[in-house]
Amino acid sequence: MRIVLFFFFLLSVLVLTLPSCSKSDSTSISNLEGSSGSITRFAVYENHMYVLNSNEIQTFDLADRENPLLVHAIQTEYGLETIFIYEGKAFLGARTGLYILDLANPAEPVILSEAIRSEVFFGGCDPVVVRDNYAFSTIKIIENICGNWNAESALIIYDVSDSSNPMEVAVRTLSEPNGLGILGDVLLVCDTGTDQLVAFDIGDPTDPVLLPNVTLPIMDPFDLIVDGDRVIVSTKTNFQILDASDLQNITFIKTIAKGE
Amino acid sequence: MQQSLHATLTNPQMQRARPFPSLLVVIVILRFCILIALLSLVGCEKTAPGFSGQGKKPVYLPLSELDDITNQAPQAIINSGPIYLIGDYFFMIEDKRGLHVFDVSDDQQEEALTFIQVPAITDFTIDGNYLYADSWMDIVTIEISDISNIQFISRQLNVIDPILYPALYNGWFECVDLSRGAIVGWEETELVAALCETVN
Repeated sequence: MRIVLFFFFLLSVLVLTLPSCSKSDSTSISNLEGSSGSITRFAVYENHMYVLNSNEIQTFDLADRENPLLVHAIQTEYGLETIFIYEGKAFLGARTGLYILDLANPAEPVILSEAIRSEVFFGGCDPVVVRDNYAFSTIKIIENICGNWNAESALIIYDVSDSSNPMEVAVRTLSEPNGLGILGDVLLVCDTGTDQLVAFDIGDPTDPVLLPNVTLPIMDPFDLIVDGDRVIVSTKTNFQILDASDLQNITFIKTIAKGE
Repeated sequence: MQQSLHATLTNPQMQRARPFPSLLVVIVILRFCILIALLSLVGCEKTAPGFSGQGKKPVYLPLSELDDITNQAPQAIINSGPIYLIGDYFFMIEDKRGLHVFDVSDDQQEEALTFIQVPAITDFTIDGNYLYADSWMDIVTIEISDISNIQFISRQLNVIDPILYPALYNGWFECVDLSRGAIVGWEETELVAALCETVN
């Protein structure tokens, strides 16, 4: 009798698990690591979520995933725009420059430094990405809208090996840059002003070299996400998937403009 | 539980009293006072204060409709915003309206999966099965384990300072009246005595 019961038990376990196995096939994202574009005011790190207002860095505890709880806020100057988290630190792109925050205690971020840009780049709108000891930041100036009237759009690279004292190491003029991302030794920048995905060789981050042959024409590029050897580039009205398996010859795979 | 939450959240009496700092906007009533003072000094006729002419005005959504967070049929991309990739899913904001979701696993055959309507959204992130987004002055939590059957879970009130002027615009606009709802867009209009202007 006991054996029969056990058999029934086994059978029912099997029946119950079978459909759930096939269901969790490709749809479950619960254990996956996602990645955002470079232009965002939201970021998650160690069960905490950081959300930027223009003059405020807010920390939410996600212990109860269904009810984010505001646990901490830091007031700053106005002009915070983007957040990028890299190796336990948060890098904020702001209209005045670059903030670096320590997330050693994720519930209470601490501002380590604020690199104020020189006046010629002041006021621009800008995201930042980081690799190793360098932060790559674009500054977008649109006449009369974004930035000082005499300011310039640019790519600015900082040495951030000392988080409390970032040093500007290189500047390259751009037209109207938006999001950016890194793939190997290539930095890709969405340059809306010239309708291009501009490529720089950053093998030596202190001396970025424009790669005209890798640079691609794309209308109104806005932001990008690197996904293995693919790059997804968003524009105002579509997104494009690029094959970047050969970094010297990035090619279009396809354009997706609508969900129909 | 969600019903009662919904009821309290959409209560029009709700306090939304955060200050709305903004770097770019100056209300230039003062300038007009000075102008009028100068004009009257030299004996010219008085004009009504404010700017009349081509400009922009806010498009409002009643606060009671902010909780209409639902799956919709896929839609065309008109004015994109922040993006996010998790697994095979690519998310893209449609500014102030919602999120396009695509399956990008197959390079040869894209698949638009759904459009998640989130009124007044401008930015978001994802952690596991949960999507967190701004929605006017609040942060909403959406459960997305089944992408075509999402669940609106909660709303944390008054943590976001929305932008109360037209972005990437230089000129006059109708000042925002917070009592009229959430801003879900800006449209061209013929302004009459407008008192707000974006200045750089």
